[in-house]
Amino acid sequence: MHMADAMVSPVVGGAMYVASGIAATYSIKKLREEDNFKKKISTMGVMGAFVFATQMVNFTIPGTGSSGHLCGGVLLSSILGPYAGFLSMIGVLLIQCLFFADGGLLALGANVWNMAFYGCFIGSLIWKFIMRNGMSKRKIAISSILGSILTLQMGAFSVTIETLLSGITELPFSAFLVAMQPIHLAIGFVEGLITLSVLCFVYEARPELLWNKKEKIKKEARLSYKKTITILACLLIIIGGGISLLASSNPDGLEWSIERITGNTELETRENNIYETSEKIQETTSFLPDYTFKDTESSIGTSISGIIGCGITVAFLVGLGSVIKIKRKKEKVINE
Amino acid sequence: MNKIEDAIYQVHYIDNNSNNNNILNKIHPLVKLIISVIYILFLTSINKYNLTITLAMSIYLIVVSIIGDLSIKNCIKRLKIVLFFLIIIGIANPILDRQVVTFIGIIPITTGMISALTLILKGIFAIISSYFLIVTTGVENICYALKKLHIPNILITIFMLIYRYIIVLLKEVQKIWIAYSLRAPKQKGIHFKAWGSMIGSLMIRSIDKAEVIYQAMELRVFSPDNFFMKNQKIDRTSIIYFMAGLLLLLIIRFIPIFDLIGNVFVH
Amino acid sequence: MIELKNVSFSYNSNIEVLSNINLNINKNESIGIIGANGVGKSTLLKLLVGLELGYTGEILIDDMKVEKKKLSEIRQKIGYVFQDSDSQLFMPTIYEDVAFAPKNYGFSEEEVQNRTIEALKNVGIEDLKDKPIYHLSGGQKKLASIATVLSMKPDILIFDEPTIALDPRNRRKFIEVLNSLSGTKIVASHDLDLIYDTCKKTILISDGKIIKNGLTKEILNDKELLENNGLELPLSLIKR
Repeated sequence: MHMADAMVSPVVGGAMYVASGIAATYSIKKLREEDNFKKKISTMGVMGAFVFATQMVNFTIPGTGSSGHLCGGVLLSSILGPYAGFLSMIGVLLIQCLFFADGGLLALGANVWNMAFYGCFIGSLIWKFIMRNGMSKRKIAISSILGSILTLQMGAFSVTIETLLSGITELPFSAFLVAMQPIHLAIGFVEGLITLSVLCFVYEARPELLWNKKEKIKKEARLSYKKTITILACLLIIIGGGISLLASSNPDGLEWSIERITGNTELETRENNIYETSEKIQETTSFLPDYTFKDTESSIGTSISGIIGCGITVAFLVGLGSVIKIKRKKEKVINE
Repeated sequence: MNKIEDAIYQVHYIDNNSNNNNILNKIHPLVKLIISVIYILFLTSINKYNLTITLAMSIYLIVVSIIGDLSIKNCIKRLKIVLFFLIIIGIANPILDRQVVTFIGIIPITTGMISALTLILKGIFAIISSYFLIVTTGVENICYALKKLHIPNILITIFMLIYRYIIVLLKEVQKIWIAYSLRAPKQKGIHFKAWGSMIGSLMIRSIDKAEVIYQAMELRVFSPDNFFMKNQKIDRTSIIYFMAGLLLLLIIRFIPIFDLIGNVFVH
Repeated sequence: MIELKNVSFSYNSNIEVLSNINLNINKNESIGIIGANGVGKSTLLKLLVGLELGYTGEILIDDMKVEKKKLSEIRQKIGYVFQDSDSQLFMPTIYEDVAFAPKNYGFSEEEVQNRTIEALKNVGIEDLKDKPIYHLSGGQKKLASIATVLSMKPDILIFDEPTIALDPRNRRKFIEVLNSLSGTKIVASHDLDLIYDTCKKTILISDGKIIKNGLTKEILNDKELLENNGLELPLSLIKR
């Protein structure tokens, strides 16, 4: 479910950074209020590494030949609580994006939102709600499965919206949704099964490690429950509003505005001058037939001559690079 | 489970490389981070039909790979996964967006084909650029750059700790997996009956380990607010690199310089 | 220098892990603490640095009572080397890990650097200073974790099972380094050969009580005493 950089436009990527940033700032504030937050930091670090390592494990799904994987948001928040869980998930996602190309720098905000926010915040809301009158194995099972499925559905839905808002696919909304949601229903179910088996084991072995096990739920807990719902609703409205706005106006509104800022027209006139002066050289050097795109060329910005020019530059640079490489190797040999 | 070995190898590889004595490695991490982010922003903001500029963005990558003597060999595996997703997303474009713009021979070229291609190229380029960033910078220096950008200390501390213990836990998982597979040779993954006990006990051990780490930290007066890193100054080379990088990016992104070069050859 | 008077401790108020411990350790002494698994050796060590505080009785380090408000002062005097080096070394490179404590105690940049380099020299691994921790072998990690506490120039060094998971050569190297360090040393281990090679005095603990406190030579040669308390004669003392 990791989104690559190419799947988000700068505006969508930036907006998701803002959303995730707000959630992270709030979490840090909440975490600092906890009595023993320093101790929690070491647990967050190690648990982040733990989630990362277990993501590499194949889990055989009974009755099928295939295997499933863990995402970890719900699991983390059932141990650490929403705030600490969310922050460690950010760390995990950053490592994944830098080291393993799962996601990307621009898409990080979106990925944090889609996977960490829902998994940790919604996941722990469900956990808290189900455990409000004490814990049992059955309740852990219900909470794990429900939490995983719901949060993955939300995540998948967000991926759909973010991709569509970025304007990179021609797929209509409904078709994309139909493709995304059922797959993630299955993925969520497996995630839930893994989460539940791990949590049940911990419940039997060391129940005190589970989040909220010791402390009774205080009255203020209700307040924060409401708060989260309100925040969520606000965000949904903002995102929803964004869709309708962008959908109604220019579909490539962003690119269009960037081109306007850079003053494309001005460049074109300058171009023409250079064209004229280079006309003579052109006649003698041209070796390719006159390819052009129909009248669409100017509007879409792709031109055959541009591609060829780029190709020649790339070839030149690659040649230059290999010459430098050979030289470096020779120097190395001489030095040794 | 090759994935675990791959991951361990990846971390080691990047760590070794970021300690190289290369020109790029010496550039201030903040400069490299900012240039990479600008590159990705420029790249992803290109109009989906604009193949020329998308292609032109490769110039930056080639230049960086020449300066830093980097190869993308190690990066290809990462590309595979992303390509798979991008192709799935992009595949609909040629089918749904079928306005013909030109012919190459008798094959019609449609806007959908162009947009699918730019999408895939953007994906590849973005990954290579962030790969170049991490491989020349290393996690520690990235953290330093993040600190300079006023990312909260708690987040950086957590990130550093995760990075520190990833190898420890990956090796642990590897041991568990080897012990498991020796006694269950025909299974490709872990049977569901063992899910809870295996991963659960690893989790409990991890939490216990965290407790000891906390004690070790506490004995040496830990606080996330003084989790320090060596101070680095932005030297002249870094400033030159920044200016040159920015200029190059501006040129290839906003000036149709390749149309000009191409026009020399195309009549 | 270290004084324990009638110290008892329990984790969950039901089972006493340590009961009625009385102990005096003088300056520059090296003391071995031996006993089978789970008799309370580690707990005793943790009490000394205040990692566990809910004890009864009195623990004095240089006439300072071990309590919450004195912890920072006490911990500057005592260096604690954990059993698992990976837990002790939490920074990405050795240099940063060794510099961690001096930096956090607010020494100047220059002083931090001097202390770090000196500590690394003392254990003989200064050439490894910029290496990422997971590139190190078990032996190197152990030496590095000693350096992390040496950088605070402690008066007292505490080692919890230091030779676990070390091969014979690294173990010998560790013993060399340990003997070369000055100051008070407390080593808890069931590697009795190690105690024999490094400590002059030994304390035998069983079931949370001090069974015997005396010269290492005497205690480690007492086969009956050792076997009664779940230990065996050191290999180097067994006549073949």
